[in-house]
Amino acid sequence: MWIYEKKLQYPVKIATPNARLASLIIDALGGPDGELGAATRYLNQRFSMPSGKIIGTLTDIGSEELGHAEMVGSIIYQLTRNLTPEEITAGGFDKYYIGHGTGVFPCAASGEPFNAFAISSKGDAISDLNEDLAAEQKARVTYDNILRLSDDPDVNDAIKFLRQREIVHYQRFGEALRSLTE
Amino acid sequence: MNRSELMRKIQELSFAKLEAQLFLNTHPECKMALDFFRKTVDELDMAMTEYQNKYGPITADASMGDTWTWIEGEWPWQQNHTGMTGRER
Repeated sequence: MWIYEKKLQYPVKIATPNARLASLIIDALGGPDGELGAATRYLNQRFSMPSGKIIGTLTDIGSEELGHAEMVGSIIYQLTRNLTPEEITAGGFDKYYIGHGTGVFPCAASGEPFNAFAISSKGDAISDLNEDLAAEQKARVTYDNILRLSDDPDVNDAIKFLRQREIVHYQRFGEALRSLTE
Repeated sequence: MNRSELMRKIQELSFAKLEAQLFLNTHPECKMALDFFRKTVDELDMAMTEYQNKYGPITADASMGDTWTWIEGEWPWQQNHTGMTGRER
């Protein structure tokens, strides 16, 4: 069960809409290494795990990832406020806009809709935890790539927070994996 | 403490609590982390109560008074959720 708290994990306050950044950052929600895949991967992997230590880790990190999906959705929402048709087209947001307007639709920056294969639940603790370690690193790289292409300080502030969380989760998943072989 | 400052404090305490919680999952015998977790839970409870009494519910359970205040006001992704504007931190 989950209970909603009417707050973001970390503030998202973007002063300047930017269609181009929105069309890139959507990857952090619905891309193969995005937050939607992360949350559902960990929350679904839990059922076949052998210990409370690992189940607790997947439960709490999976729940935190739901909050990150909300943060990325907030970034997209704020970046796409009051855009003109010219701005939508110039920013390369037009292909997304045709199908989804400024609604938040989980897809990769290249346009592929969210694919459930990103969930990668194998029913094997060693396989799944190694998957999770790689997933955190891949998500970290996606945030690094966003930071290379974005010069908006408001966007980058929230993205840097999300990037840092991948590193902490990698640490905790490493400890969970080692607990299997201790 | 104004509304945005109090929300910021709640976000900081929630973050500290979650960090301790994740750490405790893989270090359940760490007494220092357990003490920190419990102290942070108490501080967070106090800050949440103060915020919800003054500014409205963070969870639906905290909707007080004769009307259903859960659906009132801005939602977290809306720019004026706590009265902060862009660039303000």
